[in-house]
Amino acid sequence: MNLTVTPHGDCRIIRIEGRLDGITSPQLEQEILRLCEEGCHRLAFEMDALDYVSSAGLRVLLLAVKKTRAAGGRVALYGVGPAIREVLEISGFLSLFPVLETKEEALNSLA
Amino acid sequence: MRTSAILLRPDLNDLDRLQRFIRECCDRHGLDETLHNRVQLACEEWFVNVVKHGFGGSGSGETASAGGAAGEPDISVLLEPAPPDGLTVRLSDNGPPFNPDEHPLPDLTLPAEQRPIGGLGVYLILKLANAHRYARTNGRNELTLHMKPDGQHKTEGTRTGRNRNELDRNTARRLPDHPH
Repeated sequence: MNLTVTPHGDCRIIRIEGRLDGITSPQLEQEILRLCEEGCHRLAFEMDALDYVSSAGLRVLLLAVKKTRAAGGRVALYGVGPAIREVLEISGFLSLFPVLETKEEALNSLA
Repeated sequence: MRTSAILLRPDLNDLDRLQRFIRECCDRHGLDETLHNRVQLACEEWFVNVVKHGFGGSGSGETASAGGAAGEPDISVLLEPAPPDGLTVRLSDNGPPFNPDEHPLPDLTLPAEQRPIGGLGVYLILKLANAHRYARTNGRNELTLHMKPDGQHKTEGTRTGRNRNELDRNTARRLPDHPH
């Protein structure tokens, strides 16, 4: 898994490439905790290059939602492929954050 | 029909081996990518569960043998193509009894603030399979998943009944047509 964090105003775009599973998800968790400590509570997850997510990855996404909301922030996802969408749907995660098509839509939803 | 099997250690570092094993098997049999993804996910969820809860390991081999399992840990995955395009996954371990059908279902209607962190793994396994069967046999947990590339995952609230029916129908097809 590769993580790239890009600032965009007071939002942060987190691009996740590869697999978000039991092995790699602690890396994303650390990154999210770091961003929250720095006071970044508007997070857009760019997921067009994410191939796979397991419950370990879902756990970290839920953590991101809880952490940001507690600080008055928000989370949005965009570029989600069908395999990832299926897992989000099964897990009832589509109601937890907006799942959008483009970066612009995601950033608008965080504004 | 060619069957592939792998033995795993109760160590999360073996997840990588398990993933490669599934990838190779699915490629060899030309299985659909959607099916491959579902098999990867179901097997990962099962394996992580067995390592963490069955054998008390948090991921490193040193702590893994301290769990409640009798004797040497013995964890295996067996993949068996189910023509024309499906796969039967047999998951087996000698950890303490764990019946996934008795595992509490997550409440997916809760708002984010009230959702517990975690607890989705077993649910995902059962939802990703078109049918499943659990048995405790000779001190082992034996979980069989029937997985197909077509169709959607199972719908809400029909887990036990529908799985049972599907499994029975599948079994019935292999039996003689006229029982009398």
